[in-house]
Amino acid sequence: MVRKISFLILSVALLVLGALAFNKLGYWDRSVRIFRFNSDASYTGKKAIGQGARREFAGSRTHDLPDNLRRRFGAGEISPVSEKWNKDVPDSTRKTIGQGIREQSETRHFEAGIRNEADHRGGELNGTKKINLRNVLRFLSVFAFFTILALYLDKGATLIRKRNAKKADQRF
Amino acid sequence: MNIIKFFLTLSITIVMLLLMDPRSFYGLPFHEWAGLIIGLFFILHKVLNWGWIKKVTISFFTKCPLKARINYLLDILLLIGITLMILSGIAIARTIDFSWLRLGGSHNFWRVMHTSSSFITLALFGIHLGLHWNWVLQRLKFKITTNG
Repeated sequence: MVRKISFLILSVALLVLGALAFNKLGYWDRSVRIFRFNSDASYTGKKAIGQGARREFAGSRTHDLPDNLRRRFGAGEISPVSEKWNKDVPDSTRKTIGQGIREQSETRHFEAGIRNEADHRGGELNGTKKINLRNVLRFLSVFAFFTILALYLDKGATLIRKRNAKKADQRF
Repeated sequence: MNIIKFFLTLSITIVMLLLMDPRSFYGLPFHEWAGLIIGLFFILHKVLNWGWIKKVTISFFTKCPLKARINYLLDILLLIGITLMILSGIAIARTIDFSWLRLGGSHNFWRVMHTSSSFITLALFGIHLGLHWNWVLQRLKFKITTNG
């Protein structure tokens, strides 16, 4: 009996740990990502970045441009991400605006970040840090979670089947 | 034979967990080579259990118990998952050159496929172990009795 109770407590603890690791790893989202995959997504992303950059730039730095360039910029003919930018805008103007953009990007926080950034700082993918088992333990917890879930579901199903068989025997 | 099966299963489990994050254990070279080796381990696992596969395949639609049917379907899903995992791993490999295979498709697609298939396969693998827990306990008991 003591063994059964301790096994039950251990199972509950593993289930809780597994559920926490499941959330932490974004397990569900990453598992079903393939079913939501859109092959055009990368193209839309690039387009959005280009447009966003131009819109953002238009709002903040166009007052530094000469009148004729500002008109062309407004019409969408040139932008900091277009090839014409280097050709048509004079060096002095480009230098001033470039400095402004640099200042903006340095002071701004990069919101997207990298998944589990704190765990993987320093390029471990290239072998800087050889062993970091924190994520392996999280995956182990999720693995144990599914094992215990299947184990108890199987036990429950067997129990129900046995009870039904017993009832059927008693009837006849 | 059962001891070989037990240690094979144990090594597949450990390697699979180490492979889940390429940054966790000796970086990409280990991830890619061990990923290929785990495929061979999986084939060996199937070869060692060929008798069961044959038996259930023949009797699947006739007199097969429900649990065996569920296990059989789960094994098919695991086979699909592992195949996709290895195939997508080959398509995005960086330390081993598989460009000669010309798998096609975008890198992004194969990356997403690799992540999703490995996450789903690990979950199925956990369920598979849960359904075979009695077998694992029997092996452990056997080991304890032989040692004692």
